[in-house]
Amino acid sequence: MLFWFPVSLFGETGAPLNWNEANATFKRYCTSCHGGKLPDADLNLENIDYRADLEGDPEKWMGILQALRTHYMPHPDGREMPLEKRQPLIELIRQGLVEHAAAFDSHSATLRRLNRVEFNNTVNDLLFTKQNWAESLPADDAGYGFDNVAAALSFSPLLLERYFDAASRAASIAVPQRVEGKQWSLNAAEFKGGHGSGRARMVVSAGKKNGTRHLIFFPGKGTYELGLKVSAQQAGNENARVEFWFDGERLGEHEVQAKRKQKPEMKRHMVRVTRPGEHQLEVVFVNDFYKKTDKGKQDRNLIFHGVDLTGPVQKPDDLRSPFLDRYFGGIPGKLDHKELSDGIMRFASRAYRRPLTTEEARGLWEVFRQNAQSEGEAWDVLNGLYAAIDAVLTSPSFLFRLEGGEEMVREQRDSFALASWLSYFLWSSMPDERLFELARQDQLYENLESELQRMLADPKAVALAENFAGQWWSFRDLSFHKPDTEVYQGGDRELMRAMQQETRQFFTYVLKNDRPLLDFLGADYSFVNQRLARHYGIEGVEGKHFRKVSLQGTMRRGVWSQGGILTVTSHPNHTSPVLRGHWILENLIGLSPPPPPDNIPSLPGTEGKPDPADLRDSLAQHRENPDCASCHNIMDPIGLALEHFDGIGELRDESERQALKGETLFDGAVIKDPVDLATYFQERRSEDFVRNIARKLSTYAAGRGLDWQDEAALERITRQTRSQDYRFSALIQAVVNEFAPLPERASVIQVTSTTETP
Amino acid sequence: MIPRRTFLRGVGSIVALPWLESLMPAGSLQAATTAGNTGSPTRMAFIYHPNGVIQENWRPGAPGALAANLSRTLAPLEPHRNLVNVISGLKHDHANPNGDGPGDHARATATFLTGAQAKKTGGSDIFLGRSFDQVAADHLSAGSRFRSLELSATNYRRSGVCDSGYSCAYVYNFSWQNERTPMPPQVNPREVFKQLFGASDPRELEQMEQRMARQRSVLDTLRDDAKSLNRKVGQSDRDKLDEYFTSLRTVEKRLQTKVFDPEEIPSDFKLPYGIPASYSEYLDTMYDLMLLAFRTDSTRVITFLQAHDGSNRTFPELGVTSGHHQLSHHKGAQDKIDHIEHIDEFYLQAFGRFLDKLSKTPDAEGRSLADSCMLVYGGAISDGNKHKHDQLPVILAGGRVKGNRHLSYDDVPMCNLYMSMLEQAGGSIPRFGDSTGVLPRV
Repeated sequence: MLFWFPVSLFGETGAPLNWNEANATFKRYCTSCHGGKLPDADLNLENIDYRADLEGDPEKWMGILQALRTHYMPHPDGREMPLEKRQPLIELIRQGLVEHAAAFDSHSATLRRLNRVEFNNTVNDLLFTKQNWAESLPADDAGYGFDNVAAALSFSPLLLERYFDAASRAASIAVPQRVEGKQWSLNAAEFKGGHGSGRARMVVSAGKKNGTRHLIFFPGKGTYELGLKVSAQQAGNENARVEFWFDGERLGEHEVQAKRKQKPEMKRHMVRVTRPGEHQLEVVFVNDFYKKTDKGKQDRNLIFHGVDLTGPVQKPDDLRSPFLDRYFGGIPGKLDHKELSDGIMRFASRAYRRPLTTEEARGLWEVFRQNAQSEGEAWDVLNGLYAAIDAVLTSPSFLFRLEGGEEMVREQRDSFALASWLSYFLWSSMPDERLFELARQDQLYENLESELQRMLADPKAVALAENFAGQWWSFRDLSFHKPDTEVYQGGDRELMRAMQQETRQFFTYVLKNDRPLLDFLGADYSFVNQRLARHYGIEGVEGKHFRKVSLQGTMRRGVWSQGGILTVTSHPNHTSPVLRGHWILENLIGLSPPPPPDNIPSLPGTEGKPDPADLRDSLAQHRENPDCASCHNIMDPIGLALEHFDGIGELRDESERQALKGETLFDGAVIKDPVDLATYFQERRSEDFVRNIARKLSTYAAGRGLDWQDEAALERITRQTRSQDYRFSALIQAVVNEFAPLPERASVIQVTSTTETP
Repeated sequence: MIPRRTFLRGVGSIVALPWLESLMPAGSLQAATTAGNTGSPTRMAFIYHPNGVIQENWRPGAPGALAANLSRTLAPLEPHRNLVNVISGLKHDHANPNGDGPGDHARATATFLTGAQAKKTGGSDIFLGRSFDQVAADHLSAGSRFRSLELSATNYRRSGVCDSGYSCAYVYNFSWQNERTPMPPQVNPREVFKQLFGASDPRELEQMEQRMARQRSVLDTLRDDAKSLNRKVGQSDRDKLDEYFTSLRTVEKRLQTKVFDPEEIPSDFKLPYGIPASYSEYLDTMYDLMLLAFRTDSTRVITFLQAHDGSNRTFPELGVTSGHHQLSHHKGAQDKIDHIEHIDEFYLQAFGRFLDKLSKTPDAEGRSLADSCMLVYGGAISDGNKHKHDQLPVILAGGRVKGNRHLSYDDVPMCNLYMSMLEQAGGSIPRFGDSTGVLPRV
């Protein structure tokens, strides 16, 4: 069953409190420290007008609210505040904040630079490519847990240099150039991997990892011939065999006969190069042989000498591209000025995600003309187009999203701004054709609900799993998390990848099937492949693909007991109940305590490789200090319940788990194991969870840290989501209502000075 | 015989390179001429050592000439002791909480080059200070193609919040253009190469001149775009656009320098493939790029954040499978201390290899490249176990200052060292960070 009202979660609570009645509670539990001449933490709660104080300093009251919710206050060596006193006070303060915030309109950050994921997706959608544009950009700084927070996305000279570089590469793909075929050679000495052997590379072990490889620069699109020079050292009863791979695709396999003086033989392959630039060639030894005998050793090796390259051979089609077809409808050389200009403007308008102004159109044509025109000769149209692409992809109108926000004048909140806001929120990329079409007709707002459904059903919505959940739940970190494989033998890359995929797929499932958000807390299903099923002790799952399985009869529920989460909240060689407890409080139920004080004393008895009993005892000892207890009473019992799993999320042996007794949580709940935790979440913390996911998703959507002014918006989002059975789509819709730049219908104005629309 | 570059610099630089003067910040032309007493420009690099050091193994002994037997951690620098000064008694007060509570790691990395107190924020109002490398670049960079180069050997970033309420911007960035704007480092050696030289292949380099001409031709349009955007947004967003304008100016200057001549890249230089799997190879590759950048005079100011304070990197090649940060809180446990000793040694060995290559590489005047360098190696945490920010481990290396010394001071701001370095390089500013003057005897 679902629990609807926060007060009902605590059955004990009575009628709502008013501020006058609150006076007695403050007096009884708070003012002995927070009163008098020198109140603790500079917070005076004695003889003040609470309501006025809250309105005068709402940030402070946000802090008071959080301290009460997490039982951080009253301090453990003070008087215990019972739930029936605490809960009404919490509700009263929350209500006060919500009412005060109601006067403020929530909004998104005004100007946001595309982060590197958004840049990557946008360039691909704009140019119809599938390149990795992100890898050459510096990483983005994150704020409030997300790397799309506007204030943390700074702009630096390096970034502009890299954007120029990306623009050049993008241009060379978008507008293929005629390149004269040539012949050239690469010496094996330039290759990486294998062992140096004069000017050749010797490959002594089989397998892709042990091969030799190089990133080869190809000057143009087209077909090239590779002449690959190999020889072998013979041993055993078969010839050496070699495989060649090009951009991760296998070209073929050959036998290599050992010859005198290791004279190389030439193996030929044709390759299709679909874009100018670097492509990877790999030379792999298939059948290594090594044997020590009385007479010495028998050793079969492969020797790679180098490659002769010839090309490109270009067919007429090699000079076309989706970019040219789509924006220009043909080959540049055959287009007149009007067609060229129209094409550039169509491209720029999509890039800027809005109609161009006449000044912008004039500026771009000027850039084109200046670079294309050459005296007395035919125009160099390609150079002109390259320059236009440079200009568009490094323009602030492309690199920054301007979609609304507090300071932006209302007239600028048009349908184009809304289309862009929605598509970066749900897809981490630019709007598609349909969104642009609705924006052109100014019909997007009217079709908002159906468009949201369509966008969530689109494959691009997986961006929410990757970028929102990946950071919210930190499963992105599994990409570089390296467990100590001496302690955790199974903790290899394959397992990390499998765990990442589980959580990604779990989130996507809830999203795509519009399941209740509470599945994240309590789902009795998950997604595993054979590797992960073995890790979890689930039988009957074979193969590499992931499938939905029931978790009935296991200790796992929801996202918090998935292997990946348990792993990223562990150290490489041991678990941390504190980190795990904190992760759940911060990310799931929004009850994270304040950060620890400076130079905290270390936990006694946790040297080496502590087991669950050590950790339990050590933490219990530590909580005897009231200063530590005020936060650790919150974190530890939750974290200790998860001690049933080791540092890579595997269920521990029965004997180790024996040591784990039930711990009493700050609100009196007794939690013994993950199953208790699941019940506790469901019965007592659903509301906190929904409030918290509303906050997280709103931060991600708005691109800024939220403050007290957003409390009313968050309250409305929570209420709306609850009223629709906690459906994912209800949450999305509610966040859009509060934070998207929705046009004011009365004041929508026509954009007048435009030439071209996307 | 006067080396050609000295000739240009000393006598005819304005005539020979008419655009040069307009590119230089006021006063720097004079600085370049006075500082360039050997003919080569002064080159600076700042290299960060994360999570403090084991103090007992670092201590350089009595002040004066460096002890005959260097301490265990410093021993890898023995072959180059004449290039090396160990400086003790420096501190970074602004790495302390000063009322801001926990977050020593974020603060320490942030403070090292800025001497400023990081504003505690999750991201909305990041505020630190301009870093010293950027100040130095004002005085040193005229004539080189890039004002500065920022590198890091940390190729991952944790998601979520970084350190006790501090934005990740303080943790992963080392160099700061101004109080609000970090200079993000590059982590992929191949991309660093491409940034420095424009391409990874000679055939691509052939197109560079035309590419740069195109890029120059679009700058005015971009400026117009930014101006029109500026009119549509409020003050706080104008700061963002200011960053764009600044970047545009920097790139514009770079585009006015000559096209890089690939002949300058030594024939034995092997193009980095990507990020090496082995960490020591990763560090070496980054150091090799620093060497190449100095050698080709691509830049004269480099920052290299090997890893940040709080970095929990493991070192499988040393048999260290616990995280560095976790180990640094060793609480006196000998096995952990042993691991940290290995890690400290590992980092110093890599630095030693860099010094080795620098001293064996000739510069344009035929002298050793090391002679024209001033390198700072160190960190803003002295003892990782206790997060202390005084008695910092600091090395000043390179031929621009007399070497083989242990310079000892009594609790003096690290920023005083930066003041001295700038003075050595012929520049001067009244104050930097929390400086109280220059360091005597440097």
